Amino acid sequence: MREHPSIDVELDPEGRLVAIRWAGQREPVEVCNRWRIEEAWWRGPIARDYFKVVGRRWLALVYLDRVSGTWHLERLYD
Amino acid sequence: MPALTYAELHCHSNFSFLDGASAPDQLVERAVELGLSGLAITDRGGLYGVVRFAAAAREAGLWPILGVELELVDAAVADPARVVVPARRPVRRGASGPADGGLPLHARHSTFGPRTGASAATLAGARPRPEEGLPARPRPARALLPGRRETVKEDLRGVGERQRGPQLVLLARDGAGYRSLCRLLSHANLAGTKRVPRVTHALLGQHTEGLVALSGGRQGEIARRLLVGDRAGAMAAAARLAELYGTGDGAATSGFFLELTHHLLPDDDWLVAETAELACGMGLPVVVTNDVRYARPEDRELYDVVTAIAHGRTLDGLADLRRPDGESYLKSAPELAAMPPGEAGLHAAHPAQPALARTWLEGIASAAELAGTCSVDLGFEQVRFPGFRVPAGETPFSHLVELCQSGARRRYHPLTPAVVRQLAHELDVIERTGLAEFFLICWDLMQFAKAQRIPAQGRGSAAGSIVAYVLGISRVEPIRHHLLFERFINEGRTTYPDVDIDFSSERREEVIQYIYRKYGPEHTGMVCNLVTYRARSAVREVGSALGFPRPLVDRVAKALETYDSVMVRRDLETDGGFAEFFRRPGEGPQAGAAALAGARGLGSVAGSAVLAAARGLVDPMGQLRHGGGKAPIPARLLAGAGAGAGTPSGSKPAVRAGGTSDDEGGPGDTPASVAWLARQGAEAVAVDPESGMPLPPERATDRLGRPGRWDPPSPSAGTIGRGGGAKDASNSSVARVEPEPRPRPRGGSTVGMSDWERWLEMCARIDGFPRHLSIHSGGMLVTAAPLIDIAPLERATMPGRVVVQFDKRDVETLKLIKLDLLGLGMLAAIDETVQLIESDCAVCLDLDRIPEEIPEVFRMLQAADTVGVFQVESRAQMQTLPKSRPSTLDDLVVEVAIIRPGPIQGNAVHPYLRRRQGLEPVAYLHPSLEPVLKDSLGVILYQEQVMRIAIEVAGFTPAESDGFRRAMGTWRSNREMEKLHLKFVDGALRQPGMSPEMAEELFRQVAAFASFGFAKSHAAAFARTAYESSFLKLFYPTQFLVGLINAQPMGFYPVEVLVNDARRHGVAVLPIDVNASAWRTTTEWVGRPGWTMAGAIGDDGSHDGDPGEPIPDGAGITARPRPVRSGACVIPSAEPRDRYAAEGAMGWGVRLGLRLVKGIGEEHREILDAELSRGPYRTLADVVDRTGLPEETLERLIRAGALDSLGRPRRELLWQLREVTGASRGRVDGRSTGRAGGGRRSAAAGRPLSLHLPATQAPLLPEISEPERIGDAYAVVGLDARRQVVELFRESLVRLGAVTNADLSGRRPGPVRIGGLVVTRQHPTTAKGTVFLAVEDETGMVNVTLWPDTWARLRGVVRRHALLLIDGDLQLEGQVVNVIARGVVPLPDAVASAGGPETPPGIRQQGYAGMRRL
Repeated sequence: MREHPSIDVELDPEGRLVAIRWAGQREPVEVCNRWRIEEAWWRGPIARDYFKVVGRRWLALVYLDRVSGTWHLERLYD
Repeated sequence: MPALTYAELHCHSNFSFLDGASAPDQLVERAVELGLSGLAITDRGGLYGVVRFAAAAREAGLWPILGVELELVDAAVADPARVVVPARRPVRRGASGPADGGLPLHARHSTFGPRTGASAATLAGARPRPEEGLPARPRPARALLPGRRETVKEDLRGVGERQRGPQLVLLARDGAGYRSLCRLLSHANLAGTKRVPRVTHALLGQHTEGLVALSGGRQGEIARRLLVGDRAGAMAAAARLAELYGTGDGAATSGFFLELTHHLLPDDDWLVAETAELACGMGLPVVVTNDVRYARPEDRELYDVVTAIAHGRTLDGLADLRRPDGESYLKSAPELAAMPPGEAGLHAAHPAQPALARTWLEGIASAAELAGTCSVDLGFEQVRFPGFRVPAGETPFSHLVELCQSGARRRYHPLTPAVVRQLAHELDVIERTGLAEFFLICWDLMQFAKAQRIPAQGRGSAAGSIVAYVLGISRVEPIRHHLLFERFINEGRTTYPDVDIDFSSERREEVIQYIYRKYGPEHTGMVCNLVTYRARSAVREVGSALGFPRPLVDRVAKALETYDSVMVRRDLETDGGFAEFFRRPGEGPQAGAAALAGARGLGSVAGSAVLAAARGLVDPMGQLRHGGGKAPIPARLLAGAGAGAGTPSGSKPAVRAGGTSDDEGGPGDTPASVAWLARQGAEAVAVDPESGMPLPPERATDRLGRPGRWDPPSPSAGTIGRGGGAKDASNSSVARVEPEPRPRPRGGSTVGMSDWERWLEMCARIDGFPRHLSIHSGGMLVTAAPLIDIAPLERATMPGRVVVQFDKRDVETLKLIKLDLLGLGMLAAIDETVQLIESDCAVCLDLDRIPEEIPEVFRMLQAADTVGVFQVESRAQMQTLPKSRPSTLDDLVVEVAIIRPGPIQGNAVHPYLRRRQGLEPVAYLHPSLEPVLKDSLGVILYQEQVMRIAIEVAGFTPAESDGFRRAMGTWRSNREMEKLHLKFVDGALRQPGMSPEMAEELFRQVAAFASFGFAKSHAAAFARTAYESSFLKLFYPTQFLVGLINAQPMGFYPVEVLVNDARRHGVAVLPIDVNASAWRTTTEWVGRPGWTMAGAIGDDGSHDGDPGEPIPDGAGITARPRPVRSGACVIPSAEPRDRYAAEGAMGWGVRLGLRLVKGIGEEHREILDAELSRGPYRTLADVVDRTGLPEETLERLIRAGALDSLGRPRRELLWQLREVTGASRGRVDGRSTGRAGGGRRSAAAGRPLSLHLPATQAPLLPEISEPERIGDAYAVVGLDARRQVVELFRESLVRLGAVTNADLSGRRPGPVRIGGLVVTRQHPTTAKGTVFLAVEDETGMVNVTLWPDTWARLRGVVRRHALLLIDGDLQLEGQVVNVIARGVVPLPDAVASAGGPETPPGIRQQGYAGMRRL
């Protein structure tokens, strides 16, 4: 599977996603949908929390890889 | 803030049948850990698990709520867009549906049966039969038979939650609510198809009393409407349901709640907020639920596996049907409170964030509150008796007393004070426990059976009661046998006494119908039987779900000997040759070598292929590689391995296509599996051409023939350790044998395990999960209240039969009345024997009156001549009978009770046998034990003895003693044990001369025994039947054999053994013949033999030369078998024979029935018997036309020799068969000429015109040879009427130096060689890996023992071949003969190498068709 680029995110004190940083830009965002995927435990487990976020310029799909603890950008809608 | 409490109200257990992954008690345990205030079990469409759940919850102190999750077939309000009830693919019809099943056959016959008959007969040149004056010809009405599966079967495989009907959860608030649930489910089940209840909103409306409804979460109608934006529809649906179930203010009074469920799915935030808003707007209460499917987060893996099984898919192919995350576990109040609708506030549509959070918390609290208002008591004790009608002015008890008094006068002459005293005592207990009606019901049942002449007898603990004896329920006299009534009923007992009644297996149905009639169908139902996962089913289904290829799954499943899924690992590791795959990394340096040795058991090529498969199968992640695409197989290696796989005895190498030798391939291997294994076998293991063993790595060669290197698999592969050297391989083959189970701790995630490990792990976890329901063999529930108020009913597979959703255990927990009506094959056999004796010999035998101790009968038992005798015919019994030498009925009771796993494990057998043989003195631990243990020579053998020791030695009351026995048996809790221990020892110490050590030792013995004891009353009932069957076997062997054959399946041995044993006793067995055999096996007059059973046979087996009456023409045999004179063949001597057996008994032979031919079933019975009475068949066409049997069955009849009486050679008949069936069935070239698809055909469609052409002349075909004939007979019938198959090889066997089984007892102990047919194979769990074979030749049977290491070595041959040449050591212990096997080779191979006859395929491939694996 293709690796999704990793990104940095900013969380508020309650752990909510407030902004993402990618390609040197910071984008404040709001979460408009989210879901959890736990998959393929019988192969290499995939556990991700997906967030569909909307910012000023972007609509993006990002996820937290719960195995590695890193954030990734899966899709970007201009 | 006060502590938040929560109760889960929407939760599946594994009783949702593959839609839940935790057992009720696991859920209860977890709920208690989490501090939930209550838990509801809402299984899909049924209340199967509620009794266990309620009991488990009560024990754990958890508040149980009973409910159900329904799938509705319609929407609450109009649903034209089908957003609520999605359109589904059409219902598939079962394979036996009217479209293609019996109908064409039926139609065919009803339309042109007789006409075809005449024309076909003319066609074949025979004269037409006269039709007048003959019984009407019956039609084969296959479609109308009872027991046919329902034709419409809804197939929900591949149908996900989203495609099913909307869900609704109903909870029972009180008893009325529980009854509503039962009624609702019963109606829905009876309206729907099996396992798919049909619930409509109209039906819901009829049963709402006492019910609380929850909206059903994301798959409920309201959520479904909201998700598609149909807010108005959602409100209308909510309003309708609220109206149906009532509104109130708060959890205590409201009848309808909206469920808030958050599973972290896309849109869940939105859905929860939207639902909360809807509730707020409509003033409806909400509850939070988690729609639970499993207890702990890690159980999610098992849930995915069971989901895959339910849909018949693999995990990889399950994406659309699986829940995408693992949030459906039981959650605690704090965990739910922290759940995120908080974050959902970010959603623009719901700015009212704090309000939502408040609603969420309220929902959690109101779940707990609602749970607190639901209370169902599953106590049905007041309604358990169905109301037995007694004469006016009588109470059930007074009526019972009267019946007992008259019964006692009939049974006892004279009536002794002991009898009167015992009767009074029992009646007193019965009166106080209120069980009079229970006895009346049983009495009534026995009266019915007696009137209908249905053989019946009570067994089990009930046989210890004198009341049961005088009422005719049991046939065992309790005083004479020192039976203990308290074992059956006592006042301290909490569970219900059980009465098991055995009926003739053939006529049990009549009794069941009688109960339905007597108590009414609404009060009578069959108890269900939960079919749970066991080793083989678990391995198969889990393996398929995990994506293992089917051939491999088959192979592993076939390698199993265990029934216990937890033990699968042990089985595969010890002798499956699969050890390699289950070894975890770093588990010893010899892992690879051990696996090498392990592969040996499987055989070289296939084993090596498997071995290599694992190497190629797993990628560096330790994961299964799917889809193949591996490196090409080194064909040379595989072929070389195959050629080198010859057996050491020098037999032919037997290379077959696919590169497997006969030795290793065998019936378990399909070509597909071999091909798959070969494909996967990227690196096959080379095989030593001399030994047939896989080569150690150093000796293997590479593709170019150079010495190769066994490359160790990469350490990351995770499954395979490093390969070892040759020395290791040989050592570990022994070390590997480790029969002790090694259960591993379970639980936790399987992530990181290898695929094989995971397979085993999942098998262990799924062990005992209910898989589906079937009908219990004989448990009938009879109640006073309508059954529909007590348990949901559902359809059984048998039409018109209804089962309750509770199984035997549940019914016992609920203390309802259950009658166990069991079918006992032996009763049917005995009954038929007695009837035959009456009709054949004009002797009316009353088995109740045969003398109890005929010495001849016991002489037969002592000689272990017991094939076919009830209970004492097994291999183990035969081995002990010559040592225990029973000479009275009491001895026989001991014999029945002692050869059981319990006493064997408890080491009771050997002391008893030694004492019995006088090899050691009878000793008692303390003199006070003597009266109790006298019968069993000082050994504790029966449960009654445990109780009597408690009473007489330790001073317990009778009721306490039963409690003691049960506590010892179940090992409940340590504290309870300790209490009883102290009480026991204290009591025992009061006996004079009892030391504390002795008291402790006595307690230890009693406790060790109690867990496996056997009720003496039960053993006594069985011993009586064993005695009767011995009597019949000895004096009426012909009739007894017929009884046994017709009562099959039953007993320990296949029919083949029964027939050959009877022949050795001089019984003439006549072959199957369409012109003489009925459907059943019958007796046939063959004339009296010249010899008489007694006297006339000389010591050397010769007789006086009188040929006797001539054998009638057409009998199919030319000579009567001579009785074999051997230790294990007792022939009654003249004097008792004249006394007990009828004059003409020896003039009868046994005519084998057509039913023995495979493919002929109950449905052919009527037509075959009617046609037999209509006159003989003349030609093949005649047979085809009159019987209407399918072509393959006719072929089997020909091969069985059943058509030999047509006077044509078999090969010619086979040649003609296709042509003749084609002509009369509208078939050309064996294919139907009717319209494709098997639709309703017009009568003559596709039928060739009858041109009255003569049949094609068969070419000159060679006669069938004797080996071929026997091979065919064994392949098709499983036996040959004329000869035992081993006789065929006798000449070669003599050349090979093998002796007959009959000669073994006369030889001296030491090396011996025998050849024979394996008729049973046993792996007793008590024998620690030792395997026993019963090997038969034409002279008798012998026990062959394979020690664990021998078994490990010879497993491949023994498992795949039935005809064996065995080298071993003869052991003689008195009359007990035993061969300890050292080497085993397939007999046909050995014979071929000794220049014997080529073995026909029928015999070679016969495998274990007739053998029973025990």
